[in-house]
Amino acid sequence: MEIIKKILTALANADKGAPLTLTLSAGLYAEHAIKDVADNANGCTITCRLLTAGSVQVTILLPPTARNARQQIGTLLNQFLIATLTRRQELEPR
Amino acid sequence: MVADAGQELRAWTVDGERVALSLDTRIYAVEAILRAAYKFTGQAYVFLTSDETPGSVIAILTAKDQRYSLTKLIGDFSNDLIDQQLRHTLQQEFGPLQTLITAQAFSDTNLIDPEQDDGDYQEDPHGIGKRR
Repeated sequence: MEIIKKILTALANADKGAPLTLTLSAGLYAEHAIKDVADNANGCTITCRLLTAGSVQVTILLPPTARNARQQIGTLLNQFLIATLTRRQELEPR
Repeated sequence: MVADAGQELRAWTVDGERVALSLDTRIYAVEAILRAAYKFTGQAYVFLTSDETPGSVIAILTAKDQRYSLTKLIGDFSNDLIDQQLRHTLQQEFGPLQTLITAQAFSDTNLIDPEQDDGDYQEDPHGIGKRR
């Protein structure tokens, strides 16, 4: 349960403006989708690092002037998910 | 950290702002989890991650509207998971049949019995006109 505590704490700190580092697991998130979101994230900096087995470690840094970090971080997390599912649907055979 | 331990559902929160749910992939397929999470992006911020223990996925949910209680969030998400899992099971069971029906509907020829279209009623290859 250590990992859960770590993520919940990291998200709580990100609400207060701290940089957020998360691992987007292969099998849950698509690498291309993560890259798409990272490339189009207006205003904030997202760095991606490809880990072994295809997981991607992302670090999200909001500008110091950013308002409502909770909402901005949350929106980005949703975008990773939406982009993954959209991409999968595009690739699925019809 | 508060743990609400049940047999299938386990949830944790640190600050009361968001909740982590541990989902057993023997019960819920990853596909069903992804679909439920996607559906929930309208009312919550969702982050999924793999657990250290294989065979489980952690879903972290943060309600967009802070008046939306975590208990309700967990309940609604869990119900949606069951819905998506059932859809997934049905899709696995009847997906090929659905594909065949759709393909037949858009096809000019008979995909199920190709000889049926080539057959001549006078030759009666299936013996439909024969006395029984």
